[in-house]
Amino acid sequence: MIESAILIKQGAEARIYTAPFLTRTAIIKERFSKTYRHPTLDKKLTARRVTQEARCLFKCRKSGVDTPVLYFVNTENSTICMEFIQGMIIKDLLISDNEYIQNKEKQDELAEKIGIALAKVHAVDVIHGDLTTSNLMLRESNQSLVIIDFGLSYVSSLPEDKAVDLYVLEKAFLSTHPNSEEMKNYKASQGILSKLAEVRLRGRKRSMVG
Amino acid sequence: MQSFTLEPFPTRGQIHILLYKNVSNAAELRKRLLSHDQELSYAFIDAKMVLDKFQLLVATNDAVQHELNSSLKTHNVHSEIVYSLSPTTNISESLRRFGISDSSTSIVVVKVGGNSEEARSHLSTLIHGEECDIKDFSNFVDISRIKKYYKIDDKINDQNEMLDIIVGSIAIKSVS
Amino acid sequence: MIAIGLEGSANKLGIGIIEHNTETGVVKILANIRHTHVTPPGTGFLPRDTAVHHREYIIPVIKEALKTSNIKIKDVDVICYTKGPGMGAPLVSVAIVARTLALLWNKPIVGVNHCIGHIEMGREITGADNPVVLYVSGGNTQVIAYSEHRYRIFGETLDIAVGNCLDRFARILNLPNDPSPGYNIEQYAKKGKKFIELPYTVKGMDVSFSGILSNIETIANDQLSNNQCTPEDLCFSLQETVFAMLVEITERAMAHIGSKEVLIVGGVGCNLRLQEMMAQMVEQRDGKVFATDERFCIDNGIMIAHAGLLAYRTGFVTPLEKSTCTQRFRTDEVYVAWRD
Repeated sequence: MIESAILIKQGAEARIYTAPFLTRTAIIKERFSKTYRHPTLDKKLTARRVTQEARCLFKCRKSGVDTPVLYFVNTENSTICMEFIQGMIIKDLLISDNEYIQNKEKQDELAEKIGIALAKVHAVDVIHGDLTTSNLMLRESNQSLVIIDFGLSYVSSLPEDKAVDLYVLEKAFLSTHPNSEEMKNYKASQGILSKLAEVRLRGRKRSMVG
Repeated sequence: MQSFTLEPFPTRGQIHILLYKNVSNAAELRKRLLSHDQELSYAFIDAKMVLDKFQLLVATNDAVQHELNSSLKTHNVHSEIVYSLSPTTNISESLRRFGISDSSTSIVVVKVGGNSEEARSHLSTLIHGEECDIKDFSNFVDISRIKKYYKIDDKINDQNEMLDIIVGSIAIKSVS
Repeated sequence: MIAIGLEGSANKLGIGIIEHNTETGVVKILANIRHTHVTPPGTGFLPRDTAVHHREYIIPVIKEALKTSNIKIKDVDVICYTKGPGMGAPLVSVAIVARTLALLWNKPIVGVNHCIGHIEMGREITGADNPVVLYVSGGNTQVIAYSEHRYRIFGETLDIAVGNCLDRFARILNLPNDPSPGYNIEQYAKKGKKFIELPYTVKGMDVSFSGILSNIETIANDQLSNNQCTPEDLCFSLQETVFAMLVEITERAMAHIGSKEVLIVGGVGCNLRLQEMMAQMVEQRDGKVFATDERFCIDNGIMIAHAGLLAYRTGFVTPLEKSTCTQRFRTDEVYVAWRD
């Protein structure tokens, strides 16, 4: 790890640092090995996930979604370096920023930004896999909506997977921000939205036999 | 000239970047490169393909990583920088597109390690041209060629946005 | 208070008798008798035959339980039975007996969710207070955590249960079903040396096993005959892969809700390798693993008695006309009145 890196978050499978990187400031995500896993499996899995995350991140960025810019992928030490986003996390915004708590127009504007961004992500068949308000940010410079943490992302064209992605976000909104409104302007095929209605009804999970 | 540190690989030494204009001996330099002339241990890049120093640093960082892992795709770390700049894995095509051609008149040089002043004085004997400030990349860049080779959507005209995609294309290459 | 529990949702027929001291909170197990329907190697248990087995053995097993417990019928406060989830015919055959006893002895009846039975018994035996629960058996694979009177499902299998995956692979290898296919896989796995890569399917907090099963079946067909690998290697690789997936989603749930305890319940929970891997994960997080042995992990009547009695003590009774069975009965459908 870069010598002057500062650990900012310790997650279940990765540590997140900020560090100077080639004249800029970067976020470095370092996946670590899991002792409970067979070493062969652990190595393959970690490498695969580093690769998958980097690919999904870049795929979105390239198709016009505002995500952190990819700087460097190192499968040797399982790290991804990316842009450090200067801005606010949506979760904090909705909890502590009075402008957003009280102003309906502001909320609508935000809902629209989220809808447009997710439509773009799904248009290129990327499933984020962990959509919560902690993984959405507003960029300070231009108020653009940024999607972060593609750690659980994968590629799929199935309406079912996209619908579940949306449903997860919907649940996250309802549990963390009970008064939130519906997402706006998610322009996608009717297939995904009707799937979403279906997923809502069954509560994501299938019923199962004992 | 400007020198930089690669934070992921601090022991590899400083990275020196120089920019030359009105170069008259590109053909000679290219010929020497093709014959693996050991004296030319620099990366020679066509300035038309350089938008920003960050683009060069990201490619250099990748090249140094390949060197340290013994996973170089080309002869040495300097040719690897030229290769790393390219978003494709086709080696000869990458070197042709991003390296200098016989008709190049503006050249960017990247040197990994060593003393900056020594590099500069050595380069002054190699390159027949004028050194200029590396802030002047924008005077030489060929945006339409950049867009073509990095496959950037024609609608994108903001240079920062372009740079973001360029840098990502370089970074993703190591896992594609 | 004393409850008798009747369980027969799969191939285990279990009768348990439990006593709750409502003043001290002390729980005493008075009897825990089980009789298993074991089929020949290479075959699984079918609903119809299993129901026949349960009908044949339930009266002797109840008699044995009563004898072991040393109680009189008049001491029994409530009769608890498994309402679901499980196989239809076996569930019904046991429920009929529960209903008959209730009428015969004039006792109230409580229908119990099988999964809740596992969870509550696990908490009681291990003393785990508010753990993330990994419920793994032949029919279920769920990661569960309690919140506001429900056991909420955070992650689960998207297709077959992990136990089903192991059982079906045991059948492919023709391993005996005695004492259980999973136990024999575990013994084989201990002797495995070579790790063979299999698909690894985790989606967020959910898992999928059907792809792994078909993949390992292909490998078994291709590589066993020419000695490229051994059945032991395959059992080893299968366990290492599916258990790593389970530990991973459990850890994700722990991180999500900020818990430091894990409780493993269900038949697959007896597997010592799974317990060991879980312990390694939890150690990295400074937490604790709770697991039970085969008496409580494997389906039993005592857990039904225990969970039923917990509900009964809050005033819950199943009216006779509603004492039905249901093959599908989700863990989060039950209102957990007995917890804060």
